[in-house]
Amino acid sequence: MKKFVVNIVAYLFPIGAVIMGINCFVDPAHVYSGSKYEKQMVEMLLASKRNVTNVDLNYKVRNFKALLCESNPDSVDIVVLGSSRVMCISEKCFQGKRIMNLGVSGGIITDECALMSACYNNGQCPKIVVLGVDPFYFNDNNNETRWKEIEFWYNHYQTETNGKRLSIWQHFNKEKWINLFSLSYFQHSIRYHEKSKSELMVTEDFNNEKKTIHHDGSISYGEDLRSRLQEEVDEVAKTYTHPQWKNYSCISREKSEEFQGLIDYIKLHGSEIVLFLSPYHPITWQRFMSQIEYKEVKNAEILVDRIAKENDLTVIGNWDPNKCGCDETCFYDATHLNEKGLYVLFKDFQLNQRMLK
Amino acid sequence: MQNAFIVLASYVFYGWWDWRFLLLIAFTSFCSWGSGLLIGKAETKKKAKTWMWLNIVLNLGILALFKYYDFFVTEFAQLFHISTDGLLLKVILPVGISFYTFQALSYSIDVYRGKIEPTKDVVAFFAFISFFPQLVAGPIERATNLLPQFLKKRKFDYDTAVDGMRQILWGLFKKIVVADNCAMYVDQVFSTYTEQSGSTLLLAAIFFTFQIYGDFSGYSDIAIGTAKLFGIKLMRNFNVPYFSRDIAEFWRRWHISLTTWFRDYVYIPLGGSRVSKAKVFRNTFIIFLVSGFWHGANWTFIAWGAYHAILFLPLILTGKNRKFMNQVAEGRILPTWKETGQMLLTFFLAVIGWIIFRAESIGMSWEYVCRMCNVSILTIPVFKKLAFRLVIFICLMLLVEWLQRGKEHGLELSVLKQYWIRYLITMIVVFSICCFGEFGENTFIYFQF
Repeated sequence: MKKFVVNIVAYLFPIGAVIMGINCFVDPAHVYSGSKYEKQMVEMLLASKRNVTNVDLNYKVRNFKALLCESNPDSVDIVVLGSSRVMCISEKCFQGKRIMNLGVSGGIITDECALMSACYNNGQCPKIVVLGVDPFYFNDNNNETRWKEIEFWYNHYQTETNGKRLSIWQHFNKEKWINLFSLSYFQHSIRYHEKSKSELMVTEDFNNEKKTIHHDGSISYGEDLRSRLQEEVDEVAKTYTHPQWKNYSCISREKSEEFQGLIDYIKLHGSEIVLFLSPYHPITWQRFMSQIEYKEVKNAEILVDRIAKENDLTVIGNWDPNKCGCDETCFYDATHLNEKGLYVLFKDFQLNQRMLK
Repeated sequence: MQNAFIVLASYVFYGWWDWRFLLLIAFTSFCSWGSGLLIGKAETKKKAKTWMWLNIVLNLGILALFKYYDFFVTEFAQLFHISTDGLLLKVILPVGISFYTFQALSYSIDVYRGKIEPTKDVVAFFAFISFFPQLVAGPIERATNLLPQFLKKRKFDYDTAVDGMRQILWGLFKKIVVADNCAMYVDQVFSTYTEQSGSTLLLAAIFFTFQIYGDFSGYSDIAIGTAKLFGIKLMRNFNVPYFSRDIAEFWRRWHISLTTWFRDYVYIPLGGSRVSKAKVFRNTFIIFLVSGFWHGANWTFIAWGAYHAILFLPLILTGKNRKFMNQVAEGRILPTWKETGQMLLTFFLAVIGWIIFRAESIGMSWEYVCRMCNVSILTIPVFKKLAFRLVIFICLMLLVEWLQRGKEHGLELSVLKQYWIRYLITMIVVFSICCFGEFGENTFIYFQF
């Protein structure tokens, strides 16, 4: 038995070491490399006041947005918060007003709280906050832990609003350590290394071959995504699934209270709130309306509607594409609006004149 | 103590799906154990036979209720245009019910036949029924092979355990690298088969042929290897079936534990092949149809069974079903041209069978085959990077299995004397799994049966 165990260790140790080593050193999502990559992007954007392209598909987007808040010396008129579904909202949508897009991939209410706190505490006091809302925001089981990247600011928000601080357990980012031995991350690392990293580059162009971050924090996707055929987009819409919808059995009371708390916090700082409901691809929306695992979407709709009325908030868009004039040509995939989609939603939006007095 | 630990581990493992299933498996185990004792104590053969039949009816009744009731009600209602409202049970199919039910049946039949003594050791019996490595997808063990191993104390054996680890590793390679990668291509093509060219459909069917093999034989290797760690030797379930030279040989090498189960408990009691030709015809059809139906309550499985019965019949009626009893190209590295042709033909026939098996309905399988066999079969298939990788993985698997075809599994390396060569080969397989495995949420196909 002893010999067997020794043998197992003799096999497992090098395997574990190689996986851990490659995950740690190649690190395609920049999980273990501090915020060097994100700092570089922020410096390039602020120094050039233009756009940066060749951006990795994976980077610590929360860290980047927090750094943008901390380092941006110019005051902005509008701040956009939300998930990846708001990340393409740029200054183009607001007729020349200065905006800062703080949307993050997989964003949830916790991210919005943390980034809003980062914003106010770094002297930014926008006139308008465009608050992206997604139906899965109110799912207790969405298992999103990426907000821990900016837990400093979430802690700050908690202290400001209710005097509480995060517990030790909430501090501990176990996913980061589990990821060290993740075989899927290992595969990403190998393929990432094969492709060789491309250097960040400042550009005047809004859209580029690879992913681009604009000086206002918004993004435009790479050529591969932008030039998808309609059939491909529809196919993606048919098969869309995301862990954030997992076990979505009821609207979380805690999450809806947290959302109301965020609204109060923004109002307290004197900013006006606009709710942004980014529509879904018509095929995906149809699935939401018919499949049991998405039954809470309707309840989330009712809740958001109630919150908007109670707080007298302006609403742009609707999750239902039919209610906001979007058809299947307005999407990059199941959930993300393309430029046409954004134009449809923002063309009649005259809040600039009304609100930015 | 060893058995109690195995029962505990097995029940935790099984209860992980749904704890309510535990009540069912415990009930099945207890009834079969009790029936064994009653058969053993019966004063007359008639009484023993009654107890055996009671256990068979009970076990098959449970299986029918959970697996086939809704199917029959729906079909009956459709036939007579009746509404199924309130008639359907809509119960979840307990994982592995077909496997452990057959195992339980084999015990009472073997006790009745006098092949094994009824055991009084209830813990050992519960371990026999619920032994976790093979509980949910086989091999379907016979009481005569497995139960005696639970009745004696087992000792850890280094060589067996190392061999078991290698077998697990090979099973993982087949499952994670071959089957799960194939699944991505196959699922995509089968879900859009009306839009695909004939050549793409053929390629997807071939990939499914390897997917189901990698999936199921991979699981069997993992199960057998895990059992070896506990000092338990399970029966072999696959013996390089795609190197068969005719369908009869294919069935001697594919899902061996189920095929031999049906042979011993259904085919031979019906008279086997030592009866009139009409009865051989009947027996062959019965065994294949039942075997197809065992896989699930769907006409496609029955059609798949019938298809194989049609292929098998000419061989058995002409007495050629035992023509190829040895390993192909025995003592040689390469097969002859004739053997290659025979293997390719058998493989192609199996591919057609798997289309029927994989399709959602018989209509779909027919349409799939029709679309596959049109002029577009001569075009270049949709051959993305994934398909290219799949071909490499499959060739690698076939190469290893060809070279190791006389051995128990692909990574049986005991003949290699140098430690470092064994170490190197094992590491290559481990890193192949790490680098090319598909680590999604793919479950095993045979869990649904």
